[in-house]
Amino acid sequence: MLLLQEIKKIVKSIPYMIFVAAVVIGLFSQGVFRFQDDLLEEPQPGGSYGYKHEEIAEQIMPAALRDLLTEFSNNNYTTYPIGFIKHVKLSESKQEKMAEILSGITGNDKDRILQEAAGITPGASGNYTFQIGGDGMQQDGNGGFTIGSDEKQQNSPEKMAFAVRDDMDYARFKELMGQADDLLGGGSNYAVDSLIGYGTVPLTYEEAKERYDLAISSDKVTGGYARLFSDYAGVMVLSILPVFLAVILGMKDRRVKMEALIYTKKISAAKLTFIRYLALVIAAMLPVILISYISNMMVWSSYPGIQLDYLAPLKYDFGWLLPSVMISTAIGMFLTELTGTPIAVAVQGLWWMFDVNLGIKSVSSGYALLRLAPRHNAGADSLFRTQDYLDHFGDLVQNRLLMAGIALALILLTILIYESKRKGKFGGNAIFKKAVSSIRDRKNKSQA
Amino acid sequence: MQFSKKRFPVLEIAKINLRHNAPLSIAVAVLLCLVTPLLIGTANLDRNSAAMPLEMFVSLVGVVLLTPIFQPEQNEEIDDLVSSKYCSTAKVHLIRTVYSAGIAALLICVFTVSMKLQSCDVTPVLALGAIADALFLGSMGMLTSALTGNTVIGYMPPLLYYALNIGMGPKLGSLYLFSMVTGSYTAKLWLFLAGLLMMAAALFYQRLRKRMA
Repeated sequence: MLLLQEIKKIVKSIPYMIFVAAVVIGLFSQGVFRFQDDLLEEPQPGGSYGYKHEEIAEQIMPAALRDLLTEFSNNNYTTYPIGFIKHVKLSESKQEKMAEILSGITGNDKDRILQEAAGITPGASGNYTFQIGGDGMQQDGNGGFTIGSDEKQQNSPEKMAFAVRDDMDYARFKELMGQADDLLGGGSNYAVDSLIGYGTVPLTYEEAKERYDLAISSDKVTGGYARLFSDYAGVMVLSILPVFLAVILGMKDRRVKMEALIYTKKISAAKLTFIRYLALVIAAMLPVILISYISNMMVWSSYPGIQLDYLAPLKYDFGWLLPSVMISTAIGMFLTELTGTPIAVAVQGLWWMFDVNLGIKSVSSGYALLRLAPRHNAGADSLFRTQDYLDHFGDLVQNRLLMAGIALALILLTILIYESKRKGKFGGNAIFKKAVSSIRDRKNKSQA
Repeated sequence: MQFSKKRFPVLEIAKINLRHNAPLSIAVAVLLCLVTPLLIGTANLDRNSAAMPLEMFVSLVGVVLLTPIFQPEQNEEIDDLVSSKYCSTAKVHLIRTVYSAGIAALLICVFTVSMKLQSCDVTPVLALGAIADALFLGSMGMLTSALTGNTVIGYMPPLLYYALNIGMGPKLGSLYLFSMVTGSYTAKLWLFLAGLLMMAAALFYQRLRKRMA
């Protein structure tokens, strides 16, 4: 059977051995074989259960104002427009608009805020110095913030106090903060959806117990560990390494000069391409399925008396990880067939690199539609965050289906390209080479 | 063009290789540098924050430029052809290594200057640290490519090592790639030395393999 032959060919190759070694090293480094060190514990009354974010206006408004004032006085705002950290410095006119927003929140005069907080004299061009740093800001007993520059402290004992105006409505506050976020280009802590980060309350026993019960009933414990494993496996290895296998196998026919011979075989382009794709995906998934079970089995004996889901690793392997393997492999096959070069490694490498780094901010819950490797990483520390997972399950399904769909579409295109090449209608990177050589010829002619 | 057998046409070889073998790698490396500011802030950064784009993004030009050093001769027909020439292949590899490392260093320096122009607190030490990262990752790719005789496999270990650095962080000690973000610079010396060592090992192994063939 051709599929078995292809799988054998792959698993016996040196690149596959390196692939398996890389998978093991990558996952070992993330501690997937030490899950027994992070066991779920049933909350007991009277303990400490961690914290959660809640929209508490009395907490959020002064805390967000404090941060905004600090950043305003330094004219150095931290944002995450697409996940990466970005430091924004506003122009003078935008700083004035920010002062207007601060004026709306605090009730202080805009010009006074500009002068005393940011050291700007309105209308005086070139007078754009910042005298006040974040260190100069202190909270007073009434929830207001006092800002003083060194110079000001030396020359005048008078300080300017800023606090959220007493009659400020939380809805209006959010609106103004939203304007501040727009001014910064988005992705700041002042974005309407992010303001909740300023409200922190301790979890009650009942809430902690509810989380625990959900992890037991919905995840059946093993599901939570399988999800954590999938998070690590997806981001560390399976979104990038399968592309290597696909590219190496794709270029092998040419390397051993068998390309033309295979063209003459009876097998259809669709069958050959699809079988090779399937063989690559199966070969890439084999060690992952094995390791996911080894990792999961480490905790089975730690939960006596609890009904565990022994199929959880398999469900996550196929539901969560398989689409990543599919897209990575498909990009490798498609670009190798199209160009005849290993350019797929660069393309997938760049996508993976940006995806990994995007995850730095959204590591706790990153199920965005175009994520190569969805993230869900808070582990046993927060009882698997089962509720978050259930709340965003729809997003995850959309993402995984999209990736699998794109992968299959790329394989379809690969089949078409292969068929065209076989018929001599398409020469891979011949068009590119022709274009380069024509430019070179023209240059040579002009030199002659 | 005729050359004396005694004179090794270093510049000519570099020029021809740059024209035929390097353009794609250089284009990808330049693209990486151009895309970085679109994705991560490269303006108004303090010294530790300024290290982030250099260490985490721009240093990858080393992988792009150095890993394919042995690629042309990995095609048997080309290998047979160049073996018949009087020019030593080992010297050609050395020339490619030098200009690739040079281009990587140049790109990192240009990027560092552009950050300086955007009011970042960057110093030459940051650029040197990023160059050490680039040489380390690139030489890892070179060595794997030499050992396996396949450039594509060569890209795997540096990318895996990059991922390990994100996953394990400072646990990697003296070989931690992103230490400048935390204000530590000593690891860069080890990375630089390890990079030079791996480069030498790759060139030596390639030469040895050639002699044994």
